[in-house]
Amino acid sequence: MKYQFELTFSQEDGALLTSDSGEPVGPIPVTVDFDPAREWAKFQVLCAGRADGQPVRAGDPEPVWDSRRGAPYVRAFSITATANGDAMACEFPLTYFAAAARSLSTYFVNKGRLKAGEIFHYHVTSRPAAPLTRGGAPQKSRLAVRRKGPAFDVHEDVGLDAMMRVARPYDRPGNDDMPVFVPQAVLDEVSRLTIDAGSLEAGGFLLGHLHRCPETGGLFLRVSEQIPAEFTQGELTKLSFSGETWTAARHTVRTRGVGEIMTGWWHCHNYLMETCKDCEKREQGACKAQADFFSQDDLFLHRTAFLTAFSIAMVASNSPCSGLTFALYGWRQGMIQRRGFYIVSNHTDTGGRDG
Amino acid sequence: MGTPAEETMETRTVEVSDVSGAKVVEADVPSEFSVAEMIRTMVGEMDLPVNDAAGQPVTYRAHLEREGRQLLPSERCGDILQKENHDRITLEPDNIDAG
Repeated sequence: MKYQFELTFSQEDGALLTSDSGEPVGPIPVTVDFDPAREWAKFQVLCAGRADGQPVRAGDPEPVWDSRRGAPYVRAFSITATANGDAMACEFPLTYFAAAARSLSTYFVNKGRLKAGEIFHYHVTSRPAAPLTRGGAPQKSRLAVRRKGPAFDVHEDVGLDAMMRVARPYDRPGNDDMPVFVPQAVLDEVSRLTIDAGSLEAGGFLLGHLHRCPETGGLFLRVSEQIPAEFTQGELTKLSFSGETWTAARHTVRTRGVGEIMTGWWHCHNYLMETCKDCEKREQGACKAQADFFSQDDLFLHRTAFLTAFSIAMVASNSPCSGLTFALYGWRQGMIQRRGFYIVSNHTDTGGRDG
Repeated sequence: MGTPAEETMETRTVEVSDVSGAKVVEADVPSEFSVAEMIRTMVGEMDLPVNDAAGQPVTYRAHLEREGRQLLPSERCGDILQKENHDRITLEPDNIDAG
């Protein structure tokens, strides 16, 4: 990486965090996972229609200097993605460093520099990364490695308008997110498997196709099927995936033979069925507890297995108080965010299982 | 003094993908590499996560698409990978939890 990024912390009143000697703490170099940002930058090239089946490559993050304060103060960072000799720069907000800042803040709380629950600010700076010294230089790999792009077919057989005519929004889908269409039949199956799992977690994979609207050129994702995740172990608050889980899923996709890709995964949080079953609030109708959040483990699994920027994750929550609810998560500027989607309830002329 | 003799190393060209399909590389793997060595090297080359959310190590296995099986860590790459047609391998995390 050409640049190193660093964080400086200040308390709510703006005072810099200091050490015992009164010296400001920082700037502290941070190691941040920029791969999701690289994937997002590559996806923007695909969205713009500039990839055309060619591999898209993304470079390293570079600072965008604060126009008022100048270097080393950063107001954003950018990653340039290239395909077909065409380069496109994508800018990312400083909220990308929030996870690193939170992690460091835990350290400062433990050291007594911050109080638990205290509001703090973080500032991002950047400077050219120091060249590796002889001792620090990475060992030359004994492998010759050449990067290739993933191969994703983009279908242009159905327009976005046609899909919107037979779909209803769920969870307020925004204009900034690529539309995702999920058949009612898929939700019904997820619901059934969630209920069948009782108070344990269960999960599966969402198969589908990536589409480009012939009229507008915009991309959208159309889920066609869910397949249960095999060779998993479901517990009250955990669903364990083994290596066989992925093998079986890929085999099913190949066997189905309709050119589907694994667009994402789903799993359910059912522990409230156990913890709330005797709750007084439930009897009084005074509780609306849901568990459709995305945990740190879920984040890790999604980043590991569903790094492509259009990948989605659905969480079903079943609870005695709120019943069965759904939440969809997806990548937005390299960060996983909750997002809305569309439920397709009528059969469309283009075929496929919708409703 | 003469120049050192060039080292010739037999290799197998293989396409390696992560389980998401987002990262795909073509690699020339030395024939004498064990599968374990190949996995270790490719995880580093492809920047795959090595620790999970709790900081526990992630174990990867290599799935050979042609034979539809998981490769044993002790197998020799030269013995199992094709010389002519490029094999495809998927690196699958063996112990990953949602919660």
